[in-house]
Amino acid sequence: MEIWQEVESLARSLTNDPVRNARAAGKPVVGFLCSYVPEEIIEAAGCVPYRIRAAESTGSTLGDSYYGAVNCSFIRRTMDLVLRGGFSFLSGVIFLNGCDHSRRLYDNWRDAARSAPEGPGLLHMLVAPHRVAEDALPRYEEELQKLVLVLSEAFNTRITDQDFSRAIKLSNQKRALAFEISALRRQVPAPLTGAQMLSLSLAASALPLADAVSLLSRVREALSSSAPAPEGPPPARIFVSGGCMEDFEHLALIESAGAIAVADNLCMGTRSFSDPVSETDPPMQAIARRYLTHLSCPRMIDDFGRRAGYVEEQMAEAEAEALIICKLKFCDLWGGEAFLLRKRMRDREIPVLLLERELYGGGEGQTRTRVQAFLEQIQNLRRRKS
Amino acid sequence: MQVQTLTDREVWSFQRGRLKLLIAILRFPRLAYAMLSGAGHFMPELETAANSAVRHSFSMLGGGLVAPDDLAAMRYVYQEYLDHMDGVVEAGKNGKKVVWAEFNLSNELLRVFDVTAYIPESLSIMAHHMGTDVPVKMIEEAEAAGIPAEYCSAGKTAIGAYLLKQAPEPDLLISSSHPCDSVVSSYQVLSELSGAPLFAVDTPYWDDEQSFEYYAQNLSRLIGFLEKHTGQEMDWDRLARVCRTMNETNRWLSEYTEMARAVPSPMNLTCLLLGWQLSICATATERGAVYAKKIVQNAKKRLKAGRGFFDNQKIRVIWFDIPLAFHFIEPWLNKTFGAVTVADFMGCVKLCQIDTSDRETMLRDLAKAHLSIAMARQCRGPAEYFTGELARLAEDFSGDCFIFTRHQGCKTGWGMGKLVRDVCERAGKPALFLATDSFDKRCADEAQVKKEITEFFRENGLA
Repeated sequence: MEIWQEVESLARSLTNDPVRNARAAGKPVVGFLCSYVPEEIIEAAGCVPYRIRAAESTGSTLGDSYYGAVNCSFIRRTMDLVLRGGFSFLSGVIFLNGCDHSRRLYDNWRDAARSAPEGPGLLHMLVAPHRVAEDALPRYEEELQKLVLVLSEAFNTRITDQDFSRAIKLSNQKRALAFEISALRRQVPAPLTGAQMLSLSLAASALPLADAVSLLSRVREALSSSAPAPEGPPPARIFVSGGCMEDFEHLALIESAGAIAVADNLCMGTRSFSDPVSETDPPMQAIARRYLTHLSCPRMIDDFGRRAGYVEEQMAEAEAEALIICKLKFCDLWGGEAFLLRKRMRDREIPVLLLERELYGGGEGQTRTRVQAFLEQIQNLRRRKS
Repeated sequence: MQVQTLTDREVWSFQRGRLKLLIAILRFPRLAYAMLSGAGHFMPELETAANSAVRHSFSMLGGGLVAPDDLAAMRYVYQEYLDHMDGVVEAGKNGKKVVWAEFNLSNELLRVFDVTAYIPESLSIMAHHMGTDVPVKMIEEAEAAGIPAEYCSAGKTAIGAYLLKQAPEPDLLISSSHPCDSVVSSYQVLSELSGAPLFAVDTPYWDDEQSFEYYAQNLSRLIGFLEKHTGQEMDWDRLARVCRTMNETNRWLSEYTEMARAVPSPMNLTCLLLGWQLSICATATERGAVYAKKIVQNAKKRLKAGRGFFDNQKIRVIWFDIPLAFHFIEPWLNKTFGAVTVADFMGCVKLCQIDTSDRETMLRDLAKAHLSIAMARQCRGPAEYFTGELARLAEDFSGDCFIFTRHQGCKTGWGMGKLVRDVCERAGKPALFLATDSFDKRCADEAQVKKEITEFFRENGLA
């Protein structure tokens, strides 16, 4: 289908026409780095929220001058793009104390900006608590209020409740559509793959919200009229768990071995469109609650039970037979999470495979072999059960 | 010692025996000094378990350079450490709840409750100092179980010790969200493995009133957590007494740190790091306060006389990293090159004094103090908290060069590579960036570290 070419092209590109047009029309584009940064606030401030990725990156040679070998390739490649002027279309960047690697990006980008005055004028650190407990909510709300002030001052704007309501509605619409499309993966046969869903989610995160909604609507429509996938042996139904993954071809590689990712909890996948913001509560409270308590990242220290419960629940609902955990090298947070998830799944006799990878490329043959062997194991289990 | 045959807490029992021997030697400081001064020439070179134990014990006693008065003071700390070990070995037998507390927290609250406090990372610190391979065994156990290799090795030793039953079964766990992801992650793992409830103090990013207030609220909730799970009530008067002792200890240690500005430096890094160890295992104890006071008084005498803690100091080193597992390097630096570490990352005490007037002031100032502890102070916030302190130390302590250990698991440190190099360049002093691991000697061993330092000094005309 043509629409998937458009989606993949958007997912592979650093910027795109709608973003360029918005900028040409005088709308600031504000990048952000983490799922704990509310896009609604950026949108309400009259800016384009843009999720920063290392798309189009060809390496990390310049980025490595700031980082060490034990820092993750997402952050090294992103810094590399910063130094090459790849993000020159941004008017501001909102960072988050998400992990050790990404919080140093705030420091390193500021350092680079000293010698590149044409760079984003606004570099702001948003601080999110590491606990989802109710008592952390007021603190997070205070930080969000600070962000509102910072954006208002930087872009000389006044954000009203109507602006928030409009942004929340738009963002919820985007989430609802993405969620609906994502759920189609569970059908047999499925009209889209996990890799396609990830590419769609990545594409939507790089577009102005209204354009993202439009793209998702078109995809939804295209899928409703698409022909069912050809008959063949049923692919293994897997749940994909992990943090940062923007190489949707990595997921395509896994699926090409005879699997379909029927559900996930990826940072740029389901986690980015799960849990709507309440449209009835006061806007800031509603945004704070959604972002602090949404399907969490392992940076949240008191929430493993809920995260693991989500994986189990979704695996049962989507009838997933196995779990594949994809983690970036040198990610401590997902390293610990993978250890715990593997232990828990093994206790429940659910097959688990842990794949370590760099942000882009590398180890393709090795990954394919490991996945093939794992899928054989699942087929054997199927046979034994039947 | 084979890991497979380790019985419950055997490592602690073994180390306890060694520590008792050191304490016995320190009972006679002058005799110990005389013995140690001469012993340096007869240190066994061959790397065997027994030889390693001898050499490291020698370093633990200052490598023959610590004066008798300071040796007498050291005994207070080791005695306190022995009590900590006794608590670990006996944990669970006396009906007291066992509370694991992360080593970046200040544990004065646990001193108020009638519990056995266990600092998981302390095992490997002491094991290193005693020259054993125990930390590597713990790390290998954790990695074999599936703990990621890239974790900070401090977290791996804590988990490995638990898996090998060298740590007491916890009833409660206390952790924080600083200074790194390994801490955030490893305590979730420990909580899930042990089934013990975890309270994580949420650490703010900035140093401002709002952040201090938030941290104080966290401490208040921690007290509620401890009350609920121990069935004991918080004794605020006792906390005030503990805080006063802590104030006194910190005042002395802060003064000790500052004295290293003098040329020659009357401060001894071995004593300073011992003070840091004291702060993690024996926060705010009477013996700790006595130790701190004694080493300051001894150093003051040297300062007044215009003497360094050893003669002919030639190179002043700023070692701004985590030199925990490299305690043996300092005496070697002193003797071989006349080099002295005048400012370091862990030992430097810059804690605020706690106003014990009422509960609010205590919690507020405890929050400020906790956020000023080594690693929390420099690593939890923006890079300026790290580089700013480094630049100030370079200026104030008349350093001739910098050495950075560069701990493998420290992603936040490695992520500041260029920013740190820039500070060194602006200071106009040569810098050595090692690639080591503070708890895992598989990464770089003693000989390699010494070789790199030697070449660095020679290449830069320092030696």
